[in-house]
Amino acid sequence: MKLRVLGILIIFLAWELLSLFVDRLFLPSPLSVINKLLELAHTSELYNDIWVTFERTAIGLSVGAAIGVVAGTLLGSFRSLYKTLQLPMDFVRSIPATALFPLFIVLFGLGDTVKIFVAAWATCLIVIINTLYGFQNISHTRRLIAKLKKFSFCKTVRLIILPSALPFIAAGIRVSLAFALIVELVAEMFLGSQNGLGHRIFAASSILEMEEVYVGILLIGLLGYVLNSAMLFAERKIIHWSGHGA
Amino acid sequence: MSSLTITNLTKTYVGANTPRHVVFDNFSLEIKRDTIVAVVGANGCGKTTLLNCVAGLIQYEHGNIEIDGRNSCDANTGFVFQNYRESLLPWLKNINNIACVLDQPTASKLEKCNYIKHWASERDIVLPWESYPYQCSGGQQQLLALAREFINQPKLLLMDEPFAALDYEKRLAWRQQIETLWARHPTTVILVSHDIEEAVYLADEVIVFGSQPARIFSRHTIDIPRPRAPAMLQGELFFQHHRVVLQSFLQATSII
Repeated sequence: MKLRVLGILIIFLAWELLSLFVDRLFLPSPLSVINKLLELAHTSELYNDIWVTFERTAIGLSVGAAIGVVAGTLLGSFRSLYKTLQLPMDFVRSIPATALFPLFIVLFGLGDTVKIFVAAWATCLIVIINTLYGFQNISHTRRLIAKLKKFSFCKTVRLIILPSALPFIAAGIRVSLAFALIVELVAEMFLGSQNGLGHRIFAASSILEMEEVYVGILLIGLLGYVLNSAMLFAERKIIHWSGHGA
Repeated sequence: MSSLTITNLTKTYVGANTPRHVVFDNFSLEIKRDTIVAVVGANGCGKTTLLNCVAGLIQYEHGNIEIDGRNSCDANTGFVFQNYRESLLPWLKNINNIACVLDQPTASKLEKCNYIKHWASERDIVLPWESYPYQCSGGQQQLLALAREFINQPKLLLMDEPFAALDYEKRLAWRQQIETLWARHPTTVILVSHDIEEAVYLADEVIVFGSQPARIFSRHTIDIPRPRAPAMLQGELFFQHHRVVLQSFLQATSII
């Protein structure tokens, strides 16, 4: 704990020192950023922006993960389906989500739907691949047990396949979190948003309010950190058997 | 009275880059009901393939495998794996590891749990039911894996080198455990082993396999009275049986 505080202090000091030699436009001093944060903390808009970004990312992440797991399960169960869709899937996966924004606008307009969709899109593509990897790592013995005990397809998925793949799926969701946040921010900046942290950063930079830009950046970092920690916590609770050599 | 009947079994492995490998060519075998039969033989002679065919885990080209006059695929067959840890489901509590395979489709969850606990206490099996397998010792895990196979009273129980990973004194204890479970509810057991002492100790009959293609080299009836105990290992009767089987094994494998 002491070392963590020390680490934060060192970065803070280095930042302060660096800001003495650099134009405020590029790097405002951390003290002025904190002052700005305290000032903005009195307005309800800041909390609203944090909440809106969190809400969109969380919903997008959940929806994307759910679709990704179902799609990954189907692709993993039916080899021919995977072979058929492998090429188009890999092609679509190579396209950065941001490049598809114009298409998404046409499809979903500029409202909240499109901002939730971009996070879901980014998540889904990663979770599909991780679910597939999970499938390839199911122990041979456990597959045989499902066969020996004559488990139905549903029972096999529920008792053998999904739990075996779960550590991989969870890793996929945690990786997607960072991607979902990235595309969410970009969407809030460019897809006609009126709120959210991405909109705040973009709007502040266009009037050269650099302190506020950095407030937005810090809050985004904090949001990502909190989401990641929450997910790690849930992962340890749910996938309790992981790391026990089982 | 025979329980397991294999007639004219033919099984060939065809790999993409490997030459055709005939494991069984018109192989036939009959095994008496409610006996423990041990199969010994050199590595790669088809012991495990035999179990897999009987359990319906792999396809074969020709032949018929019947258990009590019915096709083996419909039968209630138990299978004890060498890797007991991997055969358990670590995401389920111990009790649910058994409950999920319990052959009582109409029973409620509570009824199943009560049945399992009652069944276990009748056999002096004590396990931490509410724990997860990874929280248990290796011995408890193995006991759980065994109990899971015995509880459905299978017509046929297949064991693929179940104790290969254990040290010697543990293996002695497990042999007794198996015999106790078996005596309580006799069933036909095929035990694949590479340990002749273990085979003679547990079995009513030892079958020595010759290889490529697999064939029955010799069959030996072991008429040592049950229940057997480790002290028996020093007896003259055991020595005799052991010597005969070993002789046969050496002839069949011709490594020297």
